[in-house]
Amino acid sequence: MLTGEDYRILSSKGSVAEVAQYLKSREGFKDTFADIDVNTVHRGYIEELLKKRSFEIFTDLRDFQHLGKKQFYDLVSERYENELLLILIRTLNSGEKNSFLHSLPTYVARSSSLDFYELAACKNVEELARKLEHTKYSPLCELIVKESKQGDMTEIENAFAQLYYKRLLGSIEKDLSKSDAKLIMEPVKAGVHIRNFVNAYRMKAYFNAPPDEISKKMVTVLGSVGSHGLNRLFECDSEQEMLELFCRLRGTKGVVKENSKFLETAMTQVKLNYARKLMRTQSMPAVYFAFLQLCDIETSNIIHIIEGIRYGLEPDRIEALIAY
Amino acid sequence: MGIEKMTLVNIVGDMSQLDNTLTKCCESGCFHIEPAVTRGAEGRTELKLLSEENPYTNTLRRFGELCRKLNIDAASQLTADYSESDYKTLYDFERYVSGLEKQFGSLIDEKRECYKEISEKGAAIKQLNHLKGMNANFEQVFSCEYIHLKLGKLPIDSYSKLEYYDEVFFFIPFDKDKQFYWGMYFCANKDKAIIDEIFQTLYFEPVTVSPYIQGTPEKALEELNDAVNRRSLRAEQIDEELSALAKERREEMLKVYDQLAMRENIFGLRKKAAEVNGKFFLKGFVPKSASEDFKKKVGKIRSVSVTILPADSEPDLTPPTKLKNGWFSRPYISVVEMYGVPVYNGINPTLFVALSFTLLFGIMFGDLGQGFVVFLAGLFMSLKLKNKYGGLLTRCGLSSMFFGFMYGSFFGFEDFLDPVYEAIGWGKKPLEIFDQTTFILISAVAIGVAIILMSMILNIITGFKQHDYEKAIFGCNGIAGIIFYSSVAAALVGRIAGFSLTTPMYVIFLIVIPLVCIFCRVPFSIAAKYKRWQLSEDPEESGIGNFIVENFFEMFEFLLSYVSNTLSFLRVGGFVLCHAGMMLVVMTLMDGFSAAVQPIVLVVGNAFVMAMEGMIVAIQLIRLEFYEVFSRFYEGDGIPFEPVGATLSTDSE
Repeated sequence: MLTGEDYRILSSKGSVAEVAQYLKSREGFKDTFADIDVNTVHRGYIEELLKKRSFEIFTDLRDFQHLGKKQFYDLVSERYENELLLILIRTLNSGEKNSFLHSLPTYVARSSSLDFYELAACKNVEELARKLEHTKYSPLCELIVKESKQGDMTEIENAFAQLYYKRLLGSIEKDLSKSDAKLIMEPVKAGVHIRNFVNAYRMKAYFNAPPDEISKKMVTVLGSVGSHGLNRLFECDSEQEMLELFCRLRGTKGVVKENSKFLETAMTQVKLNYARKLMRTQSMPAVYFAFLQLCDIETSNIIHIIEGIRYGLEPDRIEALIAY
Repeated sequence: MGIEKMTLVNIVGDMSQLDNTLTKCCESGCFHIEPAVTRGAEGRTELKLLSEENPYTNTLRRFGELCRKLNIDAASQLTADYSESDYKTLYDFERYVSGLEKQFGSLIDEKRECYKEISEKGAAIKQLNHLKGMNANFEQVFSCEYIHLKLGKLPIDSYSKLEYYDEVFFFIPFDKDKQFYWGMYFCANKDKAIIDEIFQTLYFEPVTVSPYIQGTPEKALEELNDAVNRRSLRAEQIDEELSALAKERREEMLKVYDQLAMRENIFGLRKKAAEVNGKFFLKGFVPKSASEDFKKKVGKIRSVSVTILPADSEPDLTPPTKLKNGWFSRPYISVVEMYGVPVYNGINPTLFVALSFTLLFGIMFGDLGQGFVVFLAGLFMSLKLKNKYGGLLTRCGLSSMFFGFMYGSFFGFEDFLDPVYEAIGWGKKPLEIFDQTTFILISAVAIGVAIILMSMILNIITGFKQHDYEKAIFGCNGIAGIIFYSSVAAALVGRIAGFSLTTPMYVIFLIVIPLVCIFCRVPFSIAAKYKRWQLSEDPEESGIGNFIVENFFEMFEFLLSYVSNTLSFLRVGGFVLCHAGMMLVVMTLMDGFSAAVQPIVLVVGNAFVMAMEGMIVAIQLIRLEFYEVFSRFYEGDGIPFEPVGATLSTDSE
């Protein structure tokens, strides 16, 4: 995995081609970038290759000793499915023809139980809901149609997250031993809270939503949001204020970097810390879960760097966007 | 062998003295800087952290880039020399770097041009190779009036999506590599915009037919190859010229780079300082043993005052951890750090790791001759290469030599040391490996039991330090756990030795009651801490049924882990046998060759066994330390002590 030193070097690169060249020279990325010409490759394609690499690491681990037979080990593919379905719903609502097909990662489509090529041919959300009726997404079909008409994507995103976390918690309880479940529950709970924080921040920053409206749009698989004292966070007026409050919460002290400038980076730092702790345990499912999280964070760090360079940000500012 | 006590240091002075003070802090080598305004204090104070652009960064970056082009690895040779230098201001450094750029600039530019041409012509050769399958004349293809076409490469993943588009277009692949189809797409001219957009979003990379490609493909290829060779030759000549010039100025450049990097580093530290009313404020931790000395040195600066406070006087700041280790345990710090740094109020486990690691390595890799080679390799690494693992190897090598002597093994010769034993009056070797396998395996398990008990004791000490009663008293690694584990172990030893300890009182007090404590560790620890009865810390989860089911399975797992962790130490004995077995194979192989070849087989065989077994033993030991020992008591959540301007280390000298 990339180290802090690698990230510092990458952040100081002058162009996307230089980033690609550097990654090409790193052992873990050699195969991924083997045939690309760094001078001509499209930035989007580099990002696509990084995501594909992350997904392939997951499928390789999952398929090892047929772990995928247990739902817990296959849940990452459900997360990818969720993301794709949300993209598809957004595309159908905006009426952009072909744009879903453009962005459809074939590696996800190949390993999914849904036929995404068939879904891509849908003309509207009603048709999509009909095709999803006999799948695990059936509880969401009605809501997809209803909220699409009202133009409320947050509600749909929330429902997908709610379903995903419900299935994740169910699989942890069903597939894992008590001690493994106990280890994994802590970062999973943190993941739910972090999702709620980010959601709250976006609703606050972009829609100036009042605290009670924010509370309604939270993932509540762990119980009422207010009981965790998160309401205070929703009442903040700015990202800076939220960040300061977040850094004072239990479990973030000493984890979030002192010079953190971005709330989402600080939250990723917390996730990273949980994953690193799990990596030191003897529990196979915990290490599996943590390793996949680390891979995801690594991929999103590199994507942040590429985007930072593309928009001409200073190395210091790019570094502030990445968690390591 | 503990954790160094820290003091919190506050420094206040005139802003004009900030750089000077930071330089002194760096020079001291013992100042772990913290932001002068902690997050918790923001808004409650007028102090604001300094936020300035570092003026040295750009010059340093240019200098670093120049060094890289001249193959001078300046960044890895920083010495942090704080003595006076000829270059005092940014202007001095800027002038020096500009002068260098001017001197080397023309050659570097010419070299870049050479590589650019080589790259372009190389790409043209590659294109030509991929497009050979087209079997058509380029001029004819591109002169179509009603058809729009583009040559290029399409990712394989994107290729599989093409059939799902309704638009009319064709993609003809000529060639394929691991990630791309090389080919050409064409469509009607009127659909050009839509189709181009589709291919663009599918990451199609168009190939512009290079102006270098002229005439027949064979002739073009020949000419391109000639040109690439000529330019490569010139690039090599320029490299030689640059190397000669760089050699002349290398030492001087490294010195100036070092000074500039230090200035940049010190200026970078200013963002941790705060300012108000023309005064700066700095905050950080200094080891208690060095605090008075530090105060004297920094306090000497005009208008600067230093205040020493207890380490815990700021609740927002967590003191860093600096481990105190003696000469023996110091090299093992790297093994401990793999698992994270202990918390400031925790335990330093380095000595325990050093003793157990050295002992187990010697047992598992016991050979007088091979141990001596490991010892020499360690000496070479630590004295010549200054590698931090050198010290670890010397200690492991000595341990291996000792146990090798006990086993009578010398580079695989099992009888070589017999005269020595006779000379010292022992008569024979103390341990005959293949005749005493049961003894070896039982001893390995006994050592394992001792190590596990020791790690439980460390867990109890840590638990009491942290006021965590579940961990210290009732947990499976607490007092209850240690009583249960040692009682069962003693009962088994008694059974093997032929006497029985398992009286009803023994079973009730030393086995059953500790088990009940472990089973009820959560309610017991809540009762001890809060003086109330509750089954779980979360009042919503305090159902009796849930409590019994959960703890039943956890108890089962604890008991299983006691057994599996203890048996895990069997591998220590296993490796003793394995080492002897592998050397026996080497000796047998050697006997099968002529006398002239035998020394070669012996050397190669020994080298192979040392490399392979040494590596496996080290991996197994790290595994044993982490899973069987560290997992019982260690929490590596501490913040490492990182003095500014010095080599990062959590270890004390």
